[in-house]
Formats: sequence, structure tokens, C-alpha cells
Amino acid sequence: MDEEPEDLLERLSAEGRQLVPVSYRFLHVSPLAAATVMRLVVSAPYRASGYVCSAFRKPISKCCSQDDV
Amino acid sequence: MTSEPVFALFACCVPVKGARRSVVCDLQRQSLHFIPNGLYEILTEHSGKTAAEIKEIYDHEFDAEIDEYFEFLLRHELGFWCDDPALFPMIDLTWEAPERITNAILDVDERSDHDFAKILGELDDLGCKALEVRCFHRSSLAELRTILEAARRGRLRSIDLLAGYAPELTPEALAALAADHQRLSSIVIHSAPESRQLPPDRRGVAVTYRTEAVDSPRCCGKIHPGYFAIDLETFAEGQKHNTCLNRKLSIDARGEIKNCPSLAKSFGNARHDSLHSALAQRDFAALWSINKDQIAVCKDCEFRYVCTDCRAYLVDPGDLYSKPSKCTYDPYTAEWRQPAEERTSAGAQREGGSR
Amino acid sequence: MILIFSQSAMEPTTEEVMDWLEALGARALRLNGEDLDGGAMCFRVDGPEVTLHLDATTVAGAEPAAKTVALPLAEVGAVWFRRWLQERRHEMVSLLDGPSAEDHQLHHGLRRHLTLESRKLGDFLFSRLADRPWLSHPRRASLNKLDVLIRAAQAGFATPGTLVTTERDELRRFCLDCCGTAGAVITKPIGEVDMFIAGERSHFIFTASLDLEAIDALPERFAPSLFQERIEKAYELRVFYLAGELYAMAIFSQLDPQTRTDFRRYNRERPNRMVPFRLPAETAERLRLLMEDLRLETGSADLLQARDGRIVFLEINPVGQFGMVSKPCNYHLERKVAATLIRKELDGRGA
Repeated sequence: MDEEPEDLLERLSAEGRQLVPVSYRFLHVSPLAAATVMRLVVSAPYRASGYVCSAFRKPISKCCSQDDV
Repeated sequence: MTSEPVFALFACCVPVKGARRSVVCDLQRQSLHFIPNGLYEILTEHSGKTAAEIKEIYDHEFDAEIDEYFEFLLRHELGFWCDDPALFPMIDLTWEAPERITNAILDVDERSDHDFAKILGELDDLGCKALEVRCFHRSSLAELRTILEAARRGRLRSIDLLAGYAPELTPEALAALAADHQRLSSIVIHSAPESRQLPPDRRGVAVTYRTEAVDSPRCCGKIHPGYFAIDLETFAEGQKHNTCLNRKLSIDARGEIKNCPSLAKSFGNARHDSLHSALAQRDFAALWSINKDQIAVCKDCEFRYVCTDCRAYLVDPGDLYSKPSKCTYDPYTAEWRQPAEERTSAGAQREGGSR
Repeated sequence: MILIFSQSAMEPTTEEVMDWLEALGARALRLNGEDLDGGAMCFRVDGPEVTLHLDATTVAGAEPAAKTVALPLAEVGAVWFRRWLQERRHEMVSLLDGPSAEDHQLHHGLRRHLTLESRKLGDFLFSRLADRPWLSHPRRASLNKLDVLIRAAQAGFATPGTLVTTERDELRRFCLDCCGTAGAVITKPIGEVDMFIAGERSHFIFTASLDLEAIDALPERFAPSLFQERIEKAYELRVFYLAGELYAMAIFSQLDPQTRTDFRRYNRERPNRMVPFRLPAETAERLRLLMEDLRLETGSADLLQARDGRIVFLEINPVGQFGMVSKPCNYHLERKVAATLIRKELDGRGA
């Protein structure tokens, strides 16, 4: 993600800058995440079907043929 | 502590030996890496030895290959050079789950007459976490809504929907369905005029249209890499259990309560029997402990702990321990046979499980 | 009956523990801070008697037909404090309308008091149950990082050189002392990590690294900030402690530049390697001593194995996620926590 450590700092007033700790100068910025649901989004070449439960996935039935990938 | 480091696989990268080749199952990143059986031997029989010691064992005939092997493993982050292997134990592969039933299939066709509220309530009592609903017929949006409504409360974590195409099942309609029912994790529309894969939405719900017809339980039991489950939980379950049938309960389109809709044996009918009473029958769980190590051919296959098996459609329907008929992989040649070959050779006899 | 304090409905680990409690034959009720903050509730105090009635939807494990649930405090045999509230409703909305809407000072004042009120109510619940066995009571669960560092050193641990200062020159000296001219220090909050939302971006406070150049770029003076020597690590360790038992996991965060300084900057494409780890006996002993010294029944300890082989103590999180240790290592901690709660309830009744 884009590293913009100066961003929040720029919003602070002179007094603000004096009052914040050094760690505020090195914040990790990222776009707001979508609403959290613990699912494994498909990035591997497998379909997102089956028993999805936060970390693993197993097909419950096997009715469909292999995709032509 | 040894003075020279030894190579150690990360505990989540588990090697599995096959007849012709082996595989390292990366259970954390959910991928497979093929390795020659020679490397499997090095990683298992000679784990804990330094590279120099290993080269010595092979009379220095494979020094270059051995270096390449470790290079390969490092490149894919499957292992590391370790000063003290005693600090890194292998991963515990015991499996356990609090639910009496972890997953269920519910089949629906145009003649079905299910009491969805009763069925889903009882599944909930059994702790069921994942449900697959298979509608073999042309499904209406209203019908799908009815089924999903019945599943609104309770402990289900995911619902996979398989339904037959109807013009009203547009991407927008299905997206709305998914938005309205948080537990939906995938929607597959079969018998569609054209195939289409929609990108997963914000919550990861995938909608797919397939031209293929899935119009009866006889379509099930397909074995191919698209259905491999490469994760710790399934791998552990597969050590001692049948990864398809273990803690599974199914209700076929006629309401019969079974291990799976493709098997003949019924343990009651959901209309008047409770799922609980079916589960309580002594032989309901008989098939749950048949794992791949007991099955012919599969026991020699490198994919045996990531493949989910099928006990309904078998190469030899009379032998409970025979290989799934729809698997075209031959671990003795490490080749997937072409599907056409399968069909031409006594295909009609092979299929048919027990229905 | 086991009472669980959690934050919201979306907590898979909490649900899994509840599933185990049920499978093991125990009764459990779960209270979500989020729901209590906005749901219907009624605490009646009549002299020494107190009865609590809550909106049934806020209490998982209650009878499905009920609209309100009486929370029978007397029946609570053990308590699991998992989480409570991160943000309250009044912190997430605009409290003022009209011309006052921009009055930040007023807004701030209102919010501050409302937060205190909300906290006091939660404290009331916790204090009513203070005599039951807890895993762990929130009063014990609020640790001070610096204090814990000292206690860890007293328990025999190596700890990183640490400095809290407002002076850049002091920081410069510190960096040269412990890390030399080529070295760097790290900075992190004295308390908790946090996140600020500004428009469409979120700003996380993670552990950050500063070399001499970065230090020289700082103003001469700043607010009190925490710095520690940056130790070259072989891998990080996260150890979950539960009633005397230790469950350790090694995290190979240094293989990935993104996670090298703070492993929580998760690389979702290629997650860090996380594997079970066997703690050396003396490390295990020191941890047990430290947890006893802090009077904690449970918690997660963060340590690291330095390149030179030393094990260095970093911090303890008394109330936290153990799912991230349990799942990759297959430690079955969810069942073990359930079993521990059941045992605590039984022991409590015996005592």
C-alpha cells in the first residue's frame, strides 16, 4: 500500500505537532477496508465454493466439471 | 545445537509420497508443489542431517541436484536453514470438531415437498456449519428466497447454492440475494445459456453461470484438481476420516435422510423423522472412517490428503474400498486420462453407484 | 453457567468456544458489548438485590422465543472476558445538530463524559461478578507495557533497551549506544496500537523503524515517545498461555520486507510462515513466573529469537486473539479454553 507518512502530520496544527508522539510520523496508510466478513476470497485458481469458514474451504459436493482455465 | 544448519520444511508444508512422484502440500498458502520421490526421501528419511551429510549418503553422485532441490524449496518458501531443528516440531494432525454434523446437502427438485423450517432447525441443533442446497430444476427467485429465509437464524456459517437457470436469475437479482443473506458464500447457476463467472463481491461471494446441466445427484462425485482442498483442517481430517462423508448428513429431493443423496441407504424421511433419530442409528456413521489410505489406487496417490473422495460412484460398485469412478488420474503414470477415454470404455456400467 | 463478555456478533473464535462448551455439556450465555450499548436493558437495584434484564437479541444462548432475558448473576459460575467495547455508539455519530455541529470542543466534552458513563456501567457488571473465577478479570487485564518489561527482566528475560523521551538528542545518543552508527531504533505506542480514520483512508500506528537520518529529521522536542533498540531477529514468537500451559508459534516475518518491522502489516498475498515452536525450558519457566507475577490466567506473549540466538521478551497482550496461534499450529485452543472454563466453574463451586 502507498506509504504516506506525512499525511496525518500535515493535518495537525503547530500545537498538534508538538503534542503527538514520534510514532504518528510513521503511520501506515491504506484505503478503508470493506465491511469485515471472515471469508477467503478467491485468489488461488479454485472456485469459491464449499465450506467456507475463515481459513479453509472444502467442497461439500462435487457436481461440476473442471473449469477450462 | 548443530554447528552447521540443516534444512527444515516449515511445519505447514507437508510432503506426501505418491507412486510416481511426490508433492509438498503448502497448507498455509493452499498450494501444491511437485517434487521427485528422491527429494521426498531426503526430506523424510534424512531430515535433521546437514547438506554435506546428505551428499555423502548418496556418494556425492547427486551433489548438484541436491543443491538445486534446496534452492527450489527456498525459492518457494517451503523451508529454511535451521540451526536447531529440535525447536521446530512437526504439526499435530489430529482432527476434532464440536459439531455432530459439520456439513449437509439438501436436494430440491420440482416435486420436492420439504419443510425447510423443520430441516434447518434440526440441522442447527446438530451444530451444522455449512450447507449446500442443490436445486436440480429450473428455480424461481421466490423459491430460493423461501429456502434462504428458513436459514436466517442459527449457526450456519455458509450456504452454497446450486440452482437451475431461469431468466429471472439475473446477476443483479443474485447479487441482491447475496446482500440479503449474509451466509451465502457461493451461487452456481447450472443449465445456463452461456457460461459466465462474475467477480467475487465485497464479501467474497462468487456467482457463476455454467452451461453444464446439474440435474440429478448422478452428476456428483467428480474428482479433479478444482475440488482439491489444500488446507490444514481438511488435511488433518483426511488422516483418519473420509473427507466427503465425515459428519455429513444429506436429505435428497424425496426427503430421504442419507449420508449422501447418491447412496441408496436411507435412515428415514425428513417429513416425519427427525435428523437426530437418523444420526442415532448405529450404521449412519459407518462410512465416515474410510479414508484414502484404505482405498485402492488412492492409497498410492500423492493427492490423497487434499482430494475429497467419493464413496457413491466407484470403479467397482461391489467393493466399498475401490477408487472413485469419476477420477481420471493414474498415480502410477502421474497422468490424467482424457475424459473421452473414460466414456468410451464401459462408461454406462461404471456409473450408477447404487441408485 | 458460564458468562462470556464479547464485543460483537462477528467473532468466530468466541463462537467456536461456545460450540465446544455446548458439546462438552456446559451452559453458556454471551453478552455483546455492542448490543448492550444500544439494546433494551434494565438493571434494578433493591437494597442488596440486583436483577438484570436484557433485550433477548443481545444475549446469545438464551431461549429463542423470549423478548427479554433475565441475567441470573447468581447462577454465573465462571466468566470469560474476551472483549467488551472498542467504540461506543456515541463515538460514531454526530451528537450535535444545527449551528452547534461544528463545535468540536462541545462534541469532545460530551463524548468524553458519555464514554465514562458507559464504562462505569460495564464496570458495575464486572464488579458484581468479581468473586467468580474469571479468564481474566478486566482489572488485571489492563497492563502497562513498560511495567511489564521490568517485571519480565525481573523474571530473568532479556529485554530490549528501552527509552521514553521528549529529546531528539537523547534519542540520538540512545541509537548510537545500542545500535551503532549503522543501526536503527523502533518506535511504538506506550499503550495500544490504534487506527485513525480520515475520510476514505485509515492510518495505523504500527511499529516503525528509524535510522540516524530519520532521527535527525525530527524536531528537537516532541511528545513523550517510546523507543527500543531494533534487534535483528531470526523470527518472532507468539506464545499463548492458558492456566499454566504454554502454546508457542514462530512467525517468520523477516522473509518479507512488508512485515519485517511489524508483522501485523499482513501480506495477504503471501502470508508470513507461522509454525509450531517448542519453547526452551528456561523460557517456558520464565513466562510462567511472569504470568503468575501479573496474576493472569491467560494471555499472549510476544517474544523474538534474535540472530545471535537470544530469546528477547517484547510484550504481553492479556486479552487477545488466540485463534491466530490455534489455527496455524492446530493446537485446539478453542476446545482447551472451553474445558478450562468448565473446570473453573467446577472448582469455583467446590471452593
